[in-house]
Amino acid sequence: MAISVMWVWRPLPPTRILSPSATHDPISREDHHPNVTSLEKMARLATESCFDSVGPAPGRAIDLAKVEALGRGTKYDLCTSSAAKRQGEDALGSALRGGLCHSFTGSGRCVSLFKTLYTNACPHDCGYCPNASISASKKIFSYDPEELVRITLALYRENRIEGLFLSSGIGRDENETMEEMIEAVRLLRSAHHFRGYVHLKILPGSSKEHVREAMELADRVSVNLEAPSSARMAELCPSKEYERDILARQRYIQDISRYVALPAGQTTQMVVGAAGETDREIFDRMLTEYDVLNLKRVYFSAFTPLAGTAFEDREKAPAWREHRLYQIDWLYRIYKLDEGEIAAAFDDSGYLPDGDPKVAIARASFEEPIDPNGASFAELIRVPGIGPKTARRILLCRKNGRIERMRDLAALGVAARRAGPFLKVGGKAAATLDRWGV
Amino acid sequence: MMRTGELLRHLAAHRNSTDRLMARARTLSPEEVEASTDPEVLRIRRMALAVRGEVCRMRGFIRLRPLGERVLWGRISPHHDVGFEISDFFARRFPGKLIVLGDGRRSWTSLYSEGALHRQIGDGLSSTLADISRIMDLLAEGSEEEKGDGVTGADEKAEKGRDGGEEKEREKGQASEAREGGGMERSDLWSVYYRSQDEPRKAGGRRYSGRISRRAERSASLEAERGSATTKLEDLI
Repeated sequence: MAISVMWVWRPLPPTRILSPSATHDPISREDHHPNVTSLEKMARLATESCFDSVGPAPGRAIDLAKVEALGRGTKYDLCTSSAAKRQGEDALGSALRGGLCHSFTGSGRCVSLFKTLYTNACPHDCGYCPNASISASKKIFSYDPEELVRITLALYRENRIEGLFLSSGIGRDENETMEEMIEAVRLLRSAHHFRGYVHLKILPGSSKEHVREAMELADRVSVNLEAPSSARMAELCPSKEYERDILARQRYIQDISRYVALPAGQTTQMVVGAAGETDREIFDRMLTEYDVLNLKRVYFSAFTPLAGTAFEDREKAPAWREHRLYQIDWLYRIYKLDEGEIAAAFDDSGYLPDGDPKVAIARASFEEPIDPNGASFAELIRVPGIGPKTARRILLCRKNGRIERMRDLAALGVAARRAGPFLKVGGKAAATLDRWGV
Repeated sequence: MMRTGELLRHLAAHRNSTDRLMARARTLSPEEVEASTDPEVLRIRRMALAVRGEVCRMRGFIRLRPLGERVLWGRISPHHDVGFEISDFFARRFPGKLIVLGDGRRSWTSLYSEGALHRQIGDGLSSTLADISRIMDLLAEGSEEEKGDGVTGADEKAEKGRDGGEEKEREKGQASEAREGGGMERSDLWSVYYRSQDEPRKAGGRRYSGRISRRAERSASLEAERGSATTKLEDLI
């Protein structure tokens, strides 16, 4: 099959390269503000401009109760963008190459995207989910595509969000709801030339055609795994079939991504601690997701029992468990540690203790402190307190001379206190594990 | 690793940048900047990173408000000389909109139109916004006059003039709405949405203040998120 890359939603022609200001190289301190146009001319150009990127402010009243209810439905969903590489980015220009900028609520919660459900109606009975069909007190809300678009643009115009994260309950029928969600994103992309970031959830059980349409419009798509295996899924949500509803959809995305470019890839998320699963089970599922299904990220959400759900009396999972799983994820994905090494971080019952897994792995693998002047890159990144960036800096620095002082290592970015026990600098170990009680 | 051009651009924008540091930075390769333990090179690297960090924070934390249909404005007080870097970013994001950023003393106006970027530096947000309002009013009056011509001219022209008049009315309505504090509905929308996402287990006060200092928060006019007062357009004009 011929491989082609489709960019169906791209509405704008490539912009020609820029005014003198962009090509100007402002290297001297004095010459920093070139290319001045008078305000009169700029105002006239703006008034005459036929292209209004976000359109007029919302005219019709927005149902705030709906915004609140459907926003609350995604409170436990996770989203970030790890570097959306898209073609023609200079011309499109609105999703940052380095990922999303953070935006915070007053309490410090990061809300870089407009995270919302399309509808909170759902026939499934997931035990942890506040939108489950059994919670009788719940009031049903649904957006229509045009309304969702208006709200997204209103928030985007104020720079309160960097894009849209659209999830949903199943509604009456998964394909019908999926269609409306796709329609909303299509409206954004084509009618409003929206070039911000869009993360679309693929509903369990959606058709392959809908998956393809979603992938043509979104930057990132995801199907929520929720559980690490079908047995655990049966406990979490008896009405969802793990293989057919979820894994099959992940494989659709993998197939379609061969000919439809998905700038920020496929991700997924799991609920941690609701069905009694061990961290090792989660880790094993994570390996399959990365190695077999080529996922970009796996997210974890520590289980919180919510009033009115079937699991309201279960014990909540500690937040640190989520954090330790992310550390393992990093060690596997970024540090490229292999499965066998990471196994040292789990205890006998398959759980991660509340301590830095990298230290546990280093204690198991290092027999004696290493000399940063002779160590390889692979050895250096296994030292707690040294990451890939710092390890590369050490290699570069070594070309110009030996590293003899801990202070020099600290200047290169080494976390000296954590790395000390594993390093031999100037012929001696800076600290021992016992001395700082690891 | 930071490219030399990027390093020099950031360093030039730093408030404590000197010619001597710039001259030293020009002699450095990206590898040296990345991996040197020389105190001066470290200083250069940290200065460039401080500027880059400020650009990133401002881009993420600034809040924009509309003035009429064609202007988005926001209050920033950057520590370093990065005003245009931020206003250009938003101008490219919102083509055809005048982006006006600044504080009491300085302002940066950018417009991205027809593939070209236009800029203007001003003496303060309030005076620049007042100038723009005046110019926009004059332009709208111009299109009203055109309407007068259109009565005796071709039908097509009359149609265009009428559109212009309606647009002006709408714009006036929006401007007065903006003067009343940005419109209740919009303020409510974001605060309702932010509240819906509030989750004590995910909210880290320490993590939050670690990422953005009180100073940066003030300079990107984020007081509203904290629940304290926010700048209104009428405070400025």
